[in-house]
Amino acid sequence: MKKNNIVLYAAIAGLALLWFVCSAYAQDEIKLLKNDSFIDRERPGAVFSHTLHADKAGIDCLACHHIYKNGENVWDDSAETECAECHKVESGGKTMPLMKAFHTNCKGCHEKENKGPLTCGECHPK
Amino acid sequence: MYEFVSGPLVWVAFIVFIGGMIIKTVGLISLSKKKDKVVYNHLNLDWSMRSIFRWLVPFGSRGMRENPVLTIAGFVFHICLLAVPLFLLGHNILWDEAWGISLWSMPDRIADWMTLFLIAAAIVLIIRRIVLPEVKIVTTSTDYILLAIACAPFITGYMAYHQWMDAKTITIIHILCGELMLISIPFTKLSHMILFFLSRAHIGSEFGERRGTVTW
Repeated sequence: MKKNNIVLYAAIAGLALLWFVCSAYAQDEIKLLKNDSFIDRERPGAVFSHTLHADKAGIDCLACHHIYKNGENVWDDSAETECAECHKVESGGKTMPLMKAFHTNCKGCHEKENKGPLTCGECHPK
Repeated sequence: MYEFVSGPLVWVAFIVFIGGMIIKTVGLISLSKKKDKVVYNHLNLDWSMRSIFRWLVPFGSRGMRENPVLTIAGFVFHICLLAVPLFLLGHNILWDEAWGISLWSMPDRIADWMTLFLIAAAIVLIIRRIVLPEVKIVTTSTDYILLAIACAPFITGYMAYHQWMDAKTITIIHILCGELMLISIPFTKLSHMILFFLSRAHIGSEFGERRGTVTW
């Protein structure tokens, strides 16, 4: 009986460990362009499904993710950073301010491809 | 549809509005040079500016002091009418994205309140036209239609911001209402946005320079 209990506890502990490890590695589905850099936001964060863009629409990662070196986009998976790390809320030099970067990137592509929302309320629902 | 109303149709609206107002203003000035030459004998910059200034300041003229309700409603209406579309954050973002230029913008909650004040002021102006016999007698259906045209972009803008309807549909309706207002300006009484200055200069000079009396 006692031995069975130890096995049971070990199994529970093992499963718990597995859950922790998996959840640490698995990325949650991104549904919102939430950005903590915007402190006094006027509108709610934009609705954005990463799956819909990357997997279903099959858009190239480099269409959004970028690190430019000598005019070339050298971004890869290992260079995963927050947009706000370069794109500050207030404009600084050559880099687009954060909101303009989001708007230009999202709306620019939606316009070009004639797909996806363009009006304010479609991306920023109340 | 959104791309059409927010693209080519905006150009059409602004070309008709600005071009129409230039043609109308120049046309009226040249007409006055033909038919009312005598005005130019006593047209005076000082009296013109004083008259314009007095009528741009709340309670700056006697007529305004005698009709405080109209004065308050009128000034609230006109200040909100100009300030909200010019300094609205959403509009400025669109200008910045299109041309890289933008004005100072106000917080959305202030624009929200100013829109409600504008609608309230418009209701006061409508009631005034119905209730006061001296105003009723000079009121035609055009006056109500013009008030509706001026208010429509604000009512639909309020609905678009609060998303009372499908966001895309109400935004398209809002833009169309704004374009309708701009296009209406040169062809209707709304042209007083420019002609006000000519009228005040004329009357200010007429009474000031010629008769030595003020018109405020």
